[in-house]
Amino acid sequence: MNLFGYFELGRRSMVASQLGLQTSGDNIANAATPGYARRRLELTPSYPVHVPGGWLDQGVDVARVHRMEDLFLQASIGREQGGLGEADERLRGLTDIQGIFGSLDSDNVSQALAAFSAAFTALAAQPEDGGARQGAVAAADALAGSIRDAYARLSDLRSQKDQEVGGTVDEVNSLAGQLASLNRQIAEAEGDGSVAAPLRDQREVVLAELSDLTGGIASAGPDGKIRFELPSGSTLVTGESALPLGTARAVDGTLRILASDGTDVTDRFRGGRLGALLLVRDDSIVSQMTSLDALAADLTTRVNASTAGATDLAGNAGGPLFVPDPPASTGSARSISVSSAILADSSLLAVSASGAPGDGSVASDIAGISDAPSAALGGKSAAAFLADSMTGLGTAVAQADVDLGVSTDVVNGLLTQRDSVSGVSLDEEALELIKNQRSFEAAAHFLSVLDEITATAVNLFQR
Amino acid sequence: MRVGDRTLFLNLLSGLASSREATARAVASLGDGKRVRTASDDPVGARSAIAFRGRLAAIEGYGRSGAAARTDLSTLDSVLGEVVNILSSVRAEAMAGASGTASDGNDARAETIDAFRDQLVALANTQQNGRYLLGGTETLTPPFLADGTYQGNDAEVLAPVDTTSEVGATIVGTRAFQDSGDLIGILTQLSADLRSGNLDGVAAALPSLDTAISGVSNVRADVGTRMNTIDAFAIRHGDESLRLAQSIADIEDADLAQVAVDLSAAETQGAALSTTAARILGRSLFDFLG
Repeated sequence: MNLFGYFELGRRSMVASQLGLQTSGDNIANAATPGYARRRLELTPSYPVHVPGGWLDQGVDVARVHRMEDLFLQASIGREQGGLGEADERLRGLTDIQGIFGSLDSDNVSQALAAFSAAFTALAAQPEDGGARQGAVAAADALAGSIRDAYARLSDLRSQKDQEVGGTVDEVNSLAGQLASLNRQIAEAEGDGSVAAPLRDQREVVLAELSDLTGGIASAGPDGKIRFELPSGSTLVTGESALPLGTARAVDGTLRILASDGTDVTDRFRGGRLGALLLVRDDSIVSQMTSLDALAADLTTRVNASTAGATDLAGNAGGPLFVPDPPASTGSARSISVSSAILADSSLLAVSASGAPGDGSVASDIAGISDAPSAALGGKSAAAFLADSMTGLGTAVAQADVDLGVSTDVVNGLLTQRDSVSGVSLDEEALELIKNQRSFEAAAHFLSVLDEITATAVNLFQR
Repeated sequence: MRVGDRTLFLNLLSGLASSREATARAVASLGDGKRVRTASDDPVGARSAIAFRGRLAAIEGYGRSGAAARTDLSTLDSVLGEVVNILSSVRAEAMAGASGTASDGNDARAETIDAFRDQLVALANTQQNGRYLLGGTETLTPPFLADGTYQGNDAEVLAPVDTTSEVGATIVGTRAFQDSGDLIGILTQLSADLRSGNLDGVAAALPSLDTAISGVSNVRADVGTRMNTIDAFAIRHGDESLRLAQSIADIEDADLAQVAVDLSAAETQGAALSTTAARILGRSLFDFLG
């Protein structure tokens, strides 16, 4: 190597130090950026030359910028992220449902039912008393109102969740498009064998969001392109093309989710926020509505059967207390109300078995209905049925809370592990910075020494 | 293990979040004194609390029913007491009239007996809040005509006082006024005998009156028993309500001492974490180099 070759060696050394400084700066700047994996400059000795006595390198070369990541960990995080999103969304939905039924000491359906029975008990002792009759009719009206109200709020909540499903599907499709396009950009950028670190960071963020929303699984193909499979068994993204989800309205007005080939996959979607939303919409809320329907229908049938055989204060055969009679075959909780005739004139309430005005035995019977088992309620009494339904919901909420805690811990554990590979440590960067600074200074010094030597050589024969 | 800065940051954050959550829970408990507000806070306890509340409401209904019956029965009690008083007075008049020595006053006695008979009919048609108490469940029509004909029925208004217990709140008029002798009939006959001077007939009324007095007294005793039954249920229900309220409180209410301990634990944890965060996050190698 000639003397001027050493200048090149010094230059490479300075370039390497500068790139090292830039890498540290980049890492420090992005310490908190989501999806960012720390970069590391990989240096390698430059092409060696033969010198007397052996081989010497011609300085340093920058081999490549490395993006520090653990693909296996990344896949695990994706899987668990779906569980975390699912638990979080499920807890939110179930808590919303529980909120509809109110706290234990508030005026909920259960308490309205107990008050209804109590009012009819009091009526039995003085069935011809106007005040007692008003009280009983008011309690029946309050009970019907509280069932209708709970049902209407469940129905509202269901359409709200339905809208959220629609919004989530749109978001999933938009993310799928981003993923497909990132797959293409990364393939293009990495054609020369380098690592397109910034694009990969972006793709990681998109994948995390997709997993959170759908609970789907990402897998890298041999070409480095990420394929994204949904838990419903269909593929969302393959290679550079996205296969967006479609939607269609069902007969009941709810949104159905269609795979790209048009298959209805709504019921197979169990995972991620979308899965939880669907579970809450089609299962949790619907089962509460069905329970209320069963309760309303059973109460209407049994109470009206009692009043039908009885006579009112004037001695006329009694009409139904709850209308419609018979109860509507579907949505009876939506329509249950006290007969408007009885609401207007409580003397029409029929509680006398014998026809005598002082006979309140039917009021006694009606008071006992809430505690009497009914085949229509699975052999439970109305009171027990409601209590079981409320505590069943409470158990589901508590379970979702536990699931969320577990998922959070698992994901946090994995994120900590990911951070141990990909996370930026400022202390580390501080050292890198110093190291590169010194190395730059040394290279500069090397060049200045070289300069002096060269000057010496140039001036050798000037004297 | 290599520890990135974000790991430290996230760990501190989640620790602080959990201490804040514990603080919020404790503060909420202090606010309303509750540990369990919704079923999810304690599903098993909530199941019992719901059942207890249902029973409390039922007891309240039985209380209202019992109180209404109690009012009716205490009116009946005084009505029957009055009937016995009248019958005793009638008996005294009959004794005097039958002796013959003072038979010249028998017309006046007959007048008195007639007045007593009218009083009996009025008592038999006693009303409370517009309801007749001696007509069985025919509570809206006067049970007795002036001649003593019974127009009521033979069923009683049954007031529920517990799940399977009922107490009659009215009585069947015939039990008091006819079953141990037709009171109106006896008085009508007595008055006629006094007027016509049929002293044998007047004397014959005495044993009938005795039977009638003891019959009415028996019915009155029965009314008293019913009131006692209602009172006994009221006392029992009072105790039960207290127990139920206590049980609900045991399930739902927060133990304030426990809340205070939780609060101070959360506070300590939060303070420790904040101090740690201030020390760790505020310092890096950058402070010492360069």
